[in-house]
Amino acid sequence: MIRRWALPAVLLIVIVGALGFSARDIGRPPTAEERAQSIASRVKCPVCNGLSVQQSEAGLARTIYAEILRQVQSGRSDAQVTQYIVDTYGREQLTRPDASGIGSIVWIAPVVLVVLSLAGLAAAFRRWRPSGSRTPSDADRALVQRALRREGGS
Amino acid sequence: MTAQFGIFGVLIGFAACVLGASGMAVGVVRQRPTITLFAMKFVPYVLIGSVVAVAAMETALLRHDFSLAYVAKNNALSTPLAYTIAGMWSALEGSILLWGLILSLYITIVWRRFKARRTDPLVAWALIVMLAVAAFFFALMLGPANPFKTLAFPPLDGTGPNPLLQNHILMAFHPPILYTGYVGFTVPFAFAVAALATGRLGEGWLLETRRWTLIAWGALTLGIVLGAWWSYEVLGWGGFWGWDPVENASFLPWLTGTAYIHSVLVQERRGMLRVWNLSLVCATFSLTILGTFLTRSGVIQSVHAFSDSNIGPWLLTFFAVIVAVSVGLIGWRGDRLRSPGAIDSPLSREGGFLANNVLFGAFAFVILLGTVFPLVVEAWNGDQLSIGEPYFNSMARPIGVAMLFLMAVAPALPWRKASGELLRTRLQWPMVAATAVVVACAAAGLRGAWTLLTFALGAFAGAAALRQLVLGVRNARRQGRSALAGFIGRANGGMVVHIGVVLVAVAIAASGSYGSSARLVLKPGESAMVSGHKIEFLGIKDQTLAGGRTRTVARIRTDGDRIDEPAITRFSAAGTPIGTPSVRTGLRYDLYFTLAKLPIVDGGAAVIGVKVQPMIVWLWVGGLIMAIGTALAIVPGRRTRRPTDPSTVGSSDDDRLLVGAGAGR
Amino acid sequence: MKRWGAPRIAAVSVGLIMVLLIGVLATRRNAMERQRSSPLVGRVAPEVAGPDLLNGGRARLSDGAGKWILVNFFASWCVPCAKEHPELVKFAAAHQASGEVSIFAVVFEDQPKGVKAFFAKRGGGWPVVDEPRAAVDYGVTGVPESFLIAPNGVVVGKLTGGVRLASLETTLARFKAAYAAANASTTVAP
Repeated sequence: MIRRWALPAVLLIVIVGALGFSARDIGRPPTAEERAQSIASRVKCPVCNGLSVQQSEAGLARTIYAEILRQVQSGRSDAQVTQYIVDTYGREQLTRPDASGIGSIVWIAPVVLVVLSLAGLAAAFRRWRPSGSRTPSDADRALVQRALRREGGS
Repeated sequence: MTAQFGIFGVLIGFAACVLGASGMAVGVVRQRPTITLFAMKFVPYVLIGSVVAVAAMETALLRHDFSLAYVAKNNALSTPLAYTIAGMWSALEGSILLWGLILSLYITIVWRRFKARRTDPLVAWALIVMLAVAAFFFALMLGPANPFKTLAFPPLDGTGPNPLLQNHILMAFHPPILYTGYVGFTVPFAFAVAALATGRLGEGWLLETRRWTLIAWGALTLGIVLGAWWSYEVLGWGGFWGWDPVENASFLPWLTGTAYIHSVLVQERRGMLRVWNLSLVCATFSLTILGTFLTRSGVIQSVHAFSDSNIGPWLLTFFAVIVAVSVGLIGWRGDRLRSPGAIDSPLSREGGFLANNVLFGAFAFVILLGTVFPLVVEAWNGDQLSIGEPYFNSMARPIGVAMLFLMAVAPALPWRKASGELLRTRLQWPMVAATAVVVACAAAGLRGAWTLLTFALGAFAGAAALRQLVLGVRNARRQGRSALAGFIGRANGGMVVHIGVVLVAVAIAASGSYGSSARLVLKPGESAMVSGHKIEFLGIKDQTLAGGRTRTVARIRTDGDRIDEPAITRFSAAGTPIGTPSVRTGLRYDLYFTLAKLPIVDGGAAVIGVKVQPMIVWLWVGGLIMAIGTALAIVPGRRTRRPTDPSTVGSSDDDRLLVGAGAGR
Repeated sequence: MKRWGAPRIAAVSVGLIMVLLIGVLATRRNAMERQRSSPLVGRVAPEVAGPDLLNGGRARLSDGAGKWILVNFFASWCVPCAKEHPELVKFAAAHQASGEVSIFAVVFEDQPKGVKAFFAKRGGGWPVVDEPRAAVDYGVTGVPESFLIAPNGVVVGKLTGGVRLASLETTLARFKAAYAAANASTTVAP
């Protein structure tokens, strides 16, 4: 029994180990450009349709990106730069809703939905729990054998 | 003249729908089959009407008849032939016309196929529902989306289609295929409503619509992938999916439709989940209409700016009617639908399908919520907020990973109840494949646990699907049939689809994590290195193309030999310039060039965007494989099981193994 | 004796949610028409400083502190800006004598050459600053856009699209009255 499960267990450990190895730090803090790109990817380009400032080549998007980069380079934190965008262009310019306030609903509601449906399923399985004997009788086995023979013969 | 013809066609279609539907309804309710049969004679006129209307529109387009407002707006003398023909579906009114045509085709085929059973109330009700839906679309063409409006003073030349829509030949294919999917869900919806109306809630309606649903699903899948491809090749931002409302509108019914084609198997096998399956079918159809409303009414900003019409209230009303009918019928019949069956164990094929439904349902919920939540908040307290790519991406990641995991495990699960031992033997090789992939990736220095997890699960699921196919082929061989038979049929075709999904998932994860981009500011003759490629800017060249188009091309040489020519195209002297990317497709990665900014002075520096997009080509290949797999699933297998057969004498390899394991103990 | 099974309860709740959703959707205005209020209104105007293309040297917004200032974002390539320009010239002329209102223009995505030609052709002599980041500071999405700044340096209003002299004057008068009332109450209060 244990020997048979050894391989899957080893494989699982190797997978988890490799995943952990791949998640290691890159060994240096992110550059200003990387931080600015990441902030800009969450800011809607005001003159485009459905693109972020980071994706857009529009003049205004490049100007906004330059300002984000300048602020990051001048030592402001990501939160401060994001707040700057909220102060100038408004909250609706950020495409990632906050985890607090009314925006948090979009983060919480799906989790609640999944938990509720899993709970519902669990309750259903409890209700469905087989009652009485489910071990096959000899008649069942005979039926199966006959069916198998028919299968094999055809 | 053509306008009159077109209106005439629309009127024929509308009248045939109204007369046919009301006549059939009278016949069915009064139980007078003669009336029903007589009313059914109207059905072919629905198709004739829409063919006349479409022919009129195409004639007007081909003749550049600018007395039609639609032609004047979406065509010009210089528009190339292909885009002239495709002009019918490049704007709102024409796309409704296309919708009408495809729906009438579906209706007519259903009407033909059920020739022998036309007095059957189930068939009659289904036709009534479809005709009612078609009547709505014909009414749109007579009302707010009239494609045949004429101009008192026709212009000498039209404005031509939106430049973005005449930039790539995919535009000619993407909408008709997408609509074939969208509209196709009308058929299962109609049969579901018919089943509810007649009270014949067994598995009959499922069997009737099985193939229709698969056709619609396959077309929708292909349409979505083609849309992503178009967006990648044309829009120039280097991505393929932006969670734009119009993309979400097509993705929502795809999700609920996918949930349905899985959970329907439980009902066929076990007679369970009847209410749930009916709800999924109704939800899928409702979501196609809701999506059309969201993108066509202008309440949400979207890439498709079809907002200059008052079609919104019509679509919303129609959506409300559909929801009311579906919810009302299910509420009314719901208690009758309860089935006495039970699922023995969560660790079973049934359990896998239930988990699949939870995931797909949750995904659909996330997307619907993210799309309409800003509107709800605005209605609630007037606040403006946006929900975009970062939200959808971070929600899609865990859901997608869970789906991949399930995709690997569920096909290995037998019906009824699985033993750990069985799972171990069946999943052993897929697990080895997953380990090999993740170790190789980690050893190659790839980073990102989510991405590597996606690769690992992709290998897991892909190997599991391959295993099923190998077994299928072996089975077919053993029975003296060709190996091809191992790919045909719903279960095997489904595994082919799964392999396509794996490719798509891996491509999405790879391009999202390992892409890189650079903005090069180069003067002619200068070069720069991007990801190991030497990119040399040779210079700018002006071209004059057919149809008054002018194009400024940047000549770029990569690695000393290959020339790429991203461009900025102007479709008329005053028109907005449209960037035209140049994509160099490779098996491992694409190089994606854009001309971001022209030099201000002659010989000055241009801004050239270079993107390295890993594995993108596998996204399109995966989409194609999904479509092929669907086609294989539609082809009937040799032994078609009837769902009324007792499920315990199943002949599939799964059951035999299970029974064998049980008997040998 | 169960009269309401789970399907019926689910149907009713889904129906209710759908009624709410349809209600919300039915009452939404078109996204294009939705007016967005500037978050800047009510806050101290961000400083704008940069080279003055018209008069040479550097110009700063804070140089005009204590007066009403109309900060006007424009570009020479923008048609509504050209339409609006004569109205601004008239507005500037009307308030030149009193000296309590001035115009401060900011260039938006434009070349100095074009701007100079624009003013040479259409008149006007107020400061014209070329500083790209000002557009971001003011949350500008397109031109023309103007901001009215009160003598205490607070942004009181945002005007999107081309302005007309008459409506500009009434807007100014309205804000002036409100400003006077607010100042009166604050001076009385302590």
